Amino acid sequence: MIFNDLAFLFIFLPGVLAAFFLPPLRRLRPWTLLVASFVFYGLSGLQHAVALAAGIAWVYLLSGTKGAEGNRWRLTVAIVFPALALVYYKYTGFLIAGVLGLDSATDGGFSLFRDVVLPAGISFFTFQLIAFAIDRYRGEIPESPRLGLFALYVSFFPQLVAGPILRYHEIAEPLHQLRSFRLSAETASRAIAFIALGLAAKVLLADTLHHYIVGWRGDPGGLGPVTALYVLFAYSFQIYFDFYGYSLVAIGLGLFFGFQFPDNFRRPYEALNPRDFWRRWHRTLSYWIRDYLYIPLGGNERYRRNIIVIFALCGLWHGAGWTFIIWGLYHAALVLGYGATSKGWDRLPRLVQTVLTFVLVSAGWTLFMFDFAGIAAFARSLIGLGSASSAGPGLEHWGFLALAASICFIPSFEAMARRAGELERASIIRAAGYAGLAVAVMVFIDRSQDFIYFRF
Amino acid sequence: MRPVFFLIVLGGLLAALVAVQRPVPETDLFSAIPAGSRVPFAFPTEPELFAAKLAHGRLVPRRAIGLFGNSRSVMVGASELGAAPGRFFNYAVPGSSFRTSVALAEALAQAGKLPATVLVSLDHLEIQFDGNPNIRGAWGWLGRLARDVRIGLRRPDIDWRMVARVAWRHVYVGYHGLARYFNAEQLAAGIRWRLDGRGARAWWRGEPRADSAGYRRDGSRAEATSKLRRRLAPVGRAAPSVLMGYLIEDLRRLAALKNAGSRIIVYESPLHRPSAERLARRPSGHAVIMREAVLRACARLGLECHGNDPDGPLADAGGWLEPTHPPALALAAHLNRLMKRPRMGAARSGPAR
Repeated sequence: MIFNDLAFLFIFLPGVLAAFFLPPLRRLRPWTLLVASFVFYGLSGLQHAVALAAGIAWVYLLSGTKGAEGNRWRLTVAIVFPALALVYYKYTGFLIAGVLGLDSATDGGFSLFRDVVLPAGISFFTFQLIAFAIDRYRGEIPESPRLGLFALYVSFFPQLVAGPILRYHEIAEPLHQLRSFRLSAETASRAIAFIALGLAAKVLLADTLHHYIVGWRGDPGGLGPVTALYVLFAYSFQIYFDFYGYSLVAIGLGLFFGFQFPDNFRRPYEALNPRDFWRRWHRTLSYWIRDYLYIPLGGNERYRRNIIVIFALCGLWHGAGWTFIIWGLYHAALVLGYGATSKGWDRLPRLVQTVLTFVLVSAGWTLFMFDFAGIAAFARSLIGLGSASSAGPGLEHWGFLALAASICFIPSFEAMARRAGELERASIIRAAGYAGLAVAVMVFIDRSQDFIYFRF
Repeated sequence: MRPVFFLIVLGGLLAALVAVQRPVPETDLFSAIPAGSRVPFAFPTEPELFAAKLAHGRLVPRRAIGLFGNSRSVMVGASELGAAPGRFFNYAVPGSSFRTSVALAEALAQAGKLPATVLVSLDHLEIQFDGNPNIRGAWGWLGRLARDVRIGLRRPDIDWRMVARVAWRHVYVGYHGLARYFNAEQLAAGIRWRLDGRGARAWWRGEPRADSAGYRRDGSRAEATSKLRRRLAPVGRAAPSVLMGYLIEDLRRLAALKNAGSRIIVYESPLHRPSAERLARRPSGHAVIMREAVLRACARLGLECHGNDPDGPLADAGGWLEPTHPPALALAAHLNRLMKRPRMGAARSGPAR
């Protein structure tokens, strides 16, 4: 199931909220959410729900029980199973075809390794499982939760499929207080605002941009330079609003059940440099990598090597393919390049720094859009060597891109959603605005696409 | 903001959204189509087309011939059938099942507009297409759900699993019926309808043309010529989905319509020869059982029912769109043969030559 689906908005969410807040079921709230989360996930494939349950049981058995603290052997075994599952589901096809070049051996028939269906969000929940195991090993979670609460921490449906990637300590308190949680009108208002704004970002902005560029993306060598430039920046905003929208909805859903999820974005396209970008974009992944990879690898002591390693792995986390690894290395080069030139870079006017960072980051997204042949063709189009057979963007396209850019750079959705919690301020006007936004989302929801980050 | 304000405004807006799109059932979209032209509609889905065809049927004089079915019969027009203008209307609703055809015929009978001859297409029992009618209106939906549950609990040949399945299908189509209100193009057409003097043109997607795909004045739908394919791979059989007890019940409902003074002819939809031969060579058990049960029920109810003839002339006709979608002319000829047969009260399973 996905958030941008009427079945979720009209059936699943009201049903879960009703069951959660029904007074006789108060004591069963953790179970209500756990069952709801597995239904949410299981509807997209029962075997994936089983894989998720197996990962939870395995890590809990080894890391959630007594004696996990400081036990390196248990940590290793605990991590190996979910890591292998991630490798099997996500990387086997790439290893066979992309690395070993053995794809022809299985051509034409079913292959246990090639025809694997990737469980949605496996990279996200695997990272949460690993984070829990490491935190237990380090003694940062002295008291292990009960199995049910641990399972809920990993599978909680608002963040299960595309984050934010949570650490156990971030939600331990609300997790234990589920039975006594009372939803205030202020919190409900903020939750509604976050969900409405998030869905609007996804359905009205990201999906419209997708609709505009999808035809051009299918013909990267047939574009004029202006069209190619349009595709480059439109995709940049599309992926931002797609993922940002998901994160806002997740935050809003979390609020309904008493959870305050961390912000996953802090206006990333206003970053002043590539290093700053990674402090603003997908923050929970950046911090996960910092705490569980970068620092254990030696941190700043072997700066260059570690930056290259963690960004290559970051690319690989995003997708099983050489383009994703190159994307990671590209960002490593940007961060290292910035480090080498920071004295000069930092003296540039702030606007120039922001524009430069935005352009460099946007150029990197081409590695998400195309394979290598497509990238080469697209690059030719960008410099005017494409066949320019496709008609270029019209006024409507440019107008919408300008609108998307304005929405990206001017208002703060988080601040708007927080203000929605002020009950007395322009209450009816605000309610009408958010209700109008929600209906607009519903009217366009039938052409909505899957969230891009579901693939990761 | 206060959540209660949000919910009130949201409820109001959703009600407005539904209300703006209500006009389809009140409008006769077909009479406005110029003769010889085709028009694609701004709504592609079952409930709206059902409403539009029912509205047309209610607003025009009773027809001599009406064809009911889905995409497997919607291509037949008055010209293919050789019927004079105004004598024939194609009530087929693409994407719908036999149950929808029965519901539409019943609704026309209630309005006193059931055609004198009613031809009803029953999907070939090897390709098993079934589902509850997807018709607008919450009360009607609840009524159909309650009726099917009531019938299921009364009839000995319908067990609780069948009742559960039919009830689930009602929930499913109810949800999809609701979801269809959330479509920007349809909403825009609804607003246009209100702003542009409430004419049928508001529901047209583009201007009438003689060569494009779209609906004709007689309710039939013509495909663009480019859609025709030459080579057709044989179709495979579908998993069993028809609920036999309810199919028999639907036949009983159809038979009851004879009281409105109409002749009812039910025919099994034909298949392209390679598909028909393939399925006839190795028929599935459930299709054989169901065909026998249908023919027995037809005989008991005095309905004219005709099974598919895999060797009939239709199977070899040229111009099949797909192995289960016959060419309009050949199907029309087949239907004419069925109508020319003497009126009888017994079922026939033999070929209709």
